[in-house]
Amino acid sequence: MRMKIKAFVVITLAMTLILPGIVSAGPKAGGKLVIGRPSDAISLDSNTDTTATGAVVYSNIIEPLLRVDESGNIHPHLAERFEVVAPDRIRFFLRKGVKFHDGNDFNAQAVKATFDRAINQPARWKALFGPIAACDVVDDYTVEIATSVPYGPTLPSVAMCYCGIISPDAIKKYGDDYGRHPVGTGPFMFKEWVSKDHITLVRNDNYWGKKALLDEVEFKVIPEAGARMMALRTGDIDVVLQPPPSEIALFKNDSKFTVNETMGMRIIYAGFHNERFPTDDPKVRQALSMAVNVPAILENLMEGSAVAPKGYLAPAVFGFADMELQKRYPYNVEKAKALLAETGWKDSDGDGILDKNGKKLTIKFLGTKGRYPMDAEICEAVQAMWQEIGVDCSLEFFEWAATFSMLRAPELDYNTYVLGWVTTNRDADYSLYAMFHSGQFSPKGWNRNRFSDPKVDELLDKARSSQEREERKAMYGEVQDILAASASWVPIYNTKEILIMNAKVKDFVPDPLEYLLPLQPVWIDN
Amino acid sequence: MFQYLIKRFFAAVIVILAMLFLVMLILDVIPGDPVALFLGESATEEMVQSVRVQIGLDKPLIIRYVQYVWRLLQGDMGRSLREMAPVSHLVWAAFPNTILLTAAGMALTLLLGIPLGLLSGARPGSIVDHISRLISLIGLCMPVFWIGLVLMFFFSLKLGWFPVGGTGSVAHLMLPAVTLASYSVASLSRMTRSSIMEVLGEDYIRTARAKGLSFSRVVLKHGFGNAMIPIITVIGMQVGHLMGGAILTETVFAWPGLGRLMVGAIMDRDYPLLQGTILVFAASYIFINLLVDLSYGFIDPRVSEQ
Repeated sequence: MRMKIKAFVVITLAMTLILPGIVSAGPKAGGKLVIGRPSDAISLDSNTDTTATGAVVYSNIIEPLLRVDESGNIHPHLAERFEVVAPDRIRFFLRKGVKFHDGNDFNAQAVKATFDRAINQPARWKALFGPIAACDVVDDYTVEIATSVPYGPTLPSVAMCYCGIISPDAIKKYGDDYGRHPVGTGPFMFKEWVSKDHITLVRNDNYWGKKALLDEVEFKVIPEAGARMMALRTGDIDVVLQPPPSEIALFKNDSKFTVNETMGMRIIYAGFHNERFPTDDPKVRQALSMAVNVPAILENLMEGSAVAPKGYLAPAVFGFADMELQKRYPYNVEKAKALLAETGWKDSDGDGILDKNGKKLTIKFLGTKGRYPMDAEICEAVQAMWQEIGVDCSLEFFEWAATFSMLRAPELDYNTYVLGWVTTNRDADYSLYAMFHSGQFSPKGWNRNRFSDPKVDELLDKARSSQEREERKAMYGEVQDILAASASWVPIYNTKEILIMNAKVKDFVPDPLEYLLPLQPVWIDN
Repeated sequence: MFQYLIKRFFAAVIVILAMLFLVMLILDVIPGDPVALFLGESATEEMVQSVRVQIGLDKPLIIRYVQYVWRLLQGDMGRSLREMAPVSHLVWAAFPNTILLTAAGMALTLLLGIPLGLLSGARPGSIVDHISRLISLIGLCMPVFWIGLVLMFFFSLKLGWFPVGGTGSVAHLMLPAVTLASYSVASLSRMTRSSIMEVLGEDYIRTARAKGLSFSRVVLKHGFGNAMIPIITVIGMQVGHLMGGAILTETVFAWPGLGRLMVGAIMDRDYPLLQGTILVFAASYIFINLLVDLSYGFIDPRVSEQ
């Protein structure tokens, strides 16, 4: 009997503890979310601001015809379905009954107006889209998008946030000033923008899909990292974008905060000039790859804010293949030294630096500073690691604008440089074609490695002009195999997209692509 | 007087023209292509070239300079490369914020710096003097952004009295103004202290005391009045310092002023915007200096007679 009473009391107590939990579980509507970030948007016009500062805001206001998920699969969005008419022409059947925030109907004319505006404007957008040539209206709810040449990545390109459909009325009404008054069909509507201070969005109650839960979202600018983290602690803001790596562990151990992470799409790498002595020798590049201790960089410099790269592309990219670089070129100083000795590099004069035929093993290294998290520190660490195997490595830093100009110049006057690259449209073509096709040498494209391989050119051309996804995937796999053997890059880290938020903020998960910030499912548990 | 003003005006115009040329020259010689940077990784060489022509960056420096000055005379400061808006709009939107912050900083500087200096200068070696000199030393030595973060830590995070950053109310203004004024309060109080100490050693002070005036009256009327000139000079210089300090303070406290606009313009190599912000900073500095010079005449009639 006593036991029974005891059990009853325990169960009752447990119920009183658990029940409110059950009742309060589940998303609640309402509330305002304040997001702190280091810089303001330049514009909310998807044609002109294609950087994350603008895109994370307007990707909640305007929506593209298609969406790509984390595994690279394409889903209909404002289009109900699509049909590949020809390798250079795709037909989209639009969703009916969708309205813009200004009350106008979403239809084929709106899609055409959006694309026409982008095509006719010399915008950053155009370079992202590739050979898109026209958008033709078939009927009120059908359009065709045509490219000047057969173009495999048309679908993922149409799915980019920059291809979000804009209200034609807003374009007419605001003209050049549209970037400060964006109007789309998305789950949030633009409310106000006070430059360098904040941008506010409000929920679209007439949204055609699953409605957002938050009443309002404010993007607040706090440039100084220390001040931003303090504002999170005081409750002035609820979420922090781009937290400094050193703070992440601190917040992870604090129950008042939640840290949500996703493996990102940006690869930070050290690239080699393939035509410049001595990095023109693949063996030298391989030895240099083996001398870089990637795990140590990740642990000591990145402090868990990034992950080991699996290849030249991030796993969330369509066409990604695991290049198994850690297996191919594991960190091993002895092996690296042996490989160099094998190719005739010896320290013949005893000065600690390897030489061959009277020439020293000198690597000119163009460092990057203030562009990516911990970039300068990484360059210095890599320099030290190379010096350890007897390389004379001279590292030079310039301010980012100057570094960028050098990287764009026709001839790179360095053996090595450090750069980060995001596959913006989530299709392998975007990165591999621009960076490894021999027709894309700088300044035309971004092949500043001057990597040249007829087989790679052929595969990249073929994959670029095909609409067969499986076939393309296989071709990109083959390309990445050749690239891995060439050791043209030492990928150093794959970014993580990290959000630190107050524990009351729920279901706020970062997208792998740094340009997106899915706010629709987010809610606040008060 | 009128002639003097005309002379000063032309001198100011020449200084501004020379300054603008210097800024454009520096921007021309430092490495880094603003257009390539602005258009980003995905831009093609043709796009970079076409935008360069569009904004006139393909022309020689001297032509660009003459064009810039000509447009400036018509009130056109150009268009920001980055922000897609006329520079004048951006500058005039940010300038009032910087003036507000500078004015608040100046008010604190005057309200704290002068009394602190007088108290310690009148009684050198006293406990008040030691405390005030210690405060000055701290104010002079600590970097502005660090003071800002420390204040934020105590008053926002620990006590919750003031918001961490942003604008909108007097509470928002408090911490940035204190941060900004810290250096100026220190340097003004030191100047006031040494100036008043010097004056108090003069014969006429002893005379004033001898005829029976109270010490505080002597210090305030005879002493302070005569110590004003160097103090005013320091105040004038501090206005420039406050505007410069605003660059850091605005960044720490997310204050949307001219300083932050300028830092952003430097980072983005946004030439028109950078020229615009520097122009406004320089013009304000010249204007303040003019006011300081004119005020000498009011404080000390002997100056205007010369």
